[in-house]
Amino acid sequence: MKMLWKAGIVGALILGVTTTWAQEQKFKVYGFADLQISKMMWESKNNPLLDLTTYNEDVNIGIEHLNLYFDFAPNDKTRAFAEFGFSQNVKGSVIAEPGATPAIIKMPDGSLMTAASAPFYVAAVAQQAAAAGQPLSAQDQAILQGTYEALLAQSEGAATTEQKNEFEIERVWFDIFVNPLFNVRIGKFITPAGLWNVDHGSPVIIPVTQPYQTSVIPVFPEKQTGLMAYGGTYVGDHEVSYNAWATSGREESGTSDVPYLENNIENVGHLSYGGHVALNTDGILDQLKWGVSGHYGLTRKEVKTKHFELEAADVLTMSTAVNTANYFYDQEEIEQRREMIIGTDLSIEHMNVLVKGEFNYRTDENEITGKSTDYTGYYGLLGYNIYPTDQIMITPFAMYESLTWNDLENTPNMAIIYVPFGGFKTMRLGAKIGLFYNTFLKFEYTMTDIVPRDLTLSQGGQTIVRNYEDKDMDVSSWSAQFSIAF
Amino acid sequence: MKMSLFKKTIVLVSIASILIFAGDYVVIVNPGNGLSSIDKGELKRIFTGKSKEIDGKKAVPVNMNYDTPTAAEFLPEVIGKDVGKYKKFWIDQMIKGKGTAPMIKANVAGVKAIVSQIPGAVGYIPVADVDATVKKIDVN
Repeated sequence: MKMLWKAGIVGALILGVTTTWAQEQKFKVYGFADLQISKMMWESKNNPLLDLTTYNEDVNIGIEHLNLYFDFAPNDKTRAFAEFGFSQNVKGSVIAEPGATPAIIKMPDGSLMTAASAPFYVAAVAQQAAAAGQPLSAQDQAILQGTYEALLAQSEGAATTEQKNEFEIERVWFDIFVNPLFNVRIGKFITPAGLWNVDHGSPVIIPVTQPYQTSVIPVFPEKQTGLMAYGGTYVGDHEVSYNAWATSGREESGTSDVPYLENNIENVGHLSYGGHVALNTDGILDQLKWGVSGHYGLTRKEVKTKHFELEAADVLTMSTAVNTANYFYDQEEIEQRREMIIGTDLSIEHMNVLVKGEFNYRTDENEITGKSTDYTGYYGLLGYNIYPTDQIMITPFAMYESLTWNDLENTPNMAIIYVPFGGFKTMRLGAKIGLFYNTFLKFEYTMTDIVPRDLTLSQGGQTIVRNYEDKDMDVSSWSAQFSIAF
Repeated sequence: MKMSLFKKTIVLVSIASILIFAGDYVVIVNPGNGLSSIDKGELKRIFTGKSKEIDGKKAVPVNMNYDTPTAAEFLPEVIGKDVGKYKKFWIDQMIKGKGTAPMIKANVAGVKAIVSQIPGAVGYIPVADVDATVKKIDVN
């Protein structure tokens, strides 16, 4: 009897150990969260960047990320993974909402002009001009009205009493493990190009935000949906790894109200392809990683319209008994860009010194017009890890980034039709403080110099050239971030 | 027969190398594991998630509690990272979606319980705690 009890207890312990281990391994939930405080300082209100955002020098506070990871590995050969991201501004923060609060024009007599009253003011000005013996032509009046309307259309951000929440599916994929050299991933994944596209979580990256060429204006597609093969092998202690993908292409968020088909795959020629090869050495320096990335993709947008064909007899007799079976769909390409991208990345860590950098080049060809736009981006970060205690790591850093483009109007994007500058150059200085390995504080000061471009605008049929001074191109900001991995 | 000075030196260096590397811990695997030794680089890859197999079975690395002298000795010698950097490494891997850290057991009994029951398990414990429930292997 005692033996039976002992066997039972041992059996229960074994079952508990293996069950706990099994449960421990199969399904996990983890993630990270960060809270960010920031303030921008504009040297001038004539900064071309303000054509795309709103002037705001208030302090912003927001829960920038609450990202949850769901990780399920039912057996040795498969794994399912999903990452969902939430963000929310904190009440009382100023939200830069273009159009939230239209501008007001105050006339010399103290009256306020609105979009509805603008024509009456133009008429009043025309009367005054005529009375003074200098009548305005119809064209001049149209230009004047267009000028007032353009001024009224400029809006400022508004303080909000509502919380703005955003939700995004960052990635959802399913892995099949075949062998170390070849594995398959199916689903939506972060493009494994460069250094910080995959390393997108705030606990991992050193500055408060990723380089702008991987986040705000990504040179490589940030995320894609499709199929990816990956694997690696060791040459001695050095790892050579690869990723190769075939997808539906770059996922962009558009703001157009026109519903359209985006990146729909009708044939193999509509797929996008790419890859990344990396060498990770062990022993030459504490850490040395070098990678090369490439992508050949297609971004398409189409509008699909239903056309009815009316028979002649029905038209002539105005018959309401129309044969509605006579219809076809017509698809019109409204945007088609072929993008070719190459990049290289380097990450070195040795004796607590960090050096990280990327160089990326992309050319977009508008296959409808035959014109193209080129993007050139690079950044370099220098940091140094200091360990005052076992539990604390401080990394002061400096990072310089440049991203420029030319002839953006050659490849119009329905989200952004008009970009009034040719790029930017940014210098960031800051420090990342790691506490207890999973908690981080970051402080950063950023100075951005917008790259000007010669601008000609059409307003009321006239060409207007915008002039900038050096100070108009400068904008700076400071930001602080608290992040935690759990 | 007297050993030449050269041979004595070789023997002493060899013994010293084993002693320096072996420290106060040994690497253990399941008794059914066919290995008698493992390459240090391969062991590092198992504990950093880059290698998923050992002796043809799914590798299940098991860490000792990070606060123990055993972990404090094993991790720098084999992984090349102290406890803090090893924890940071796995935080980074987790955020990148490349997996989560190996399981950690609070004490020697916990490590041996896992290693003795899971075919691909590999762990490390103090030399004095090795018994018949686990198999010691050498690290090359």
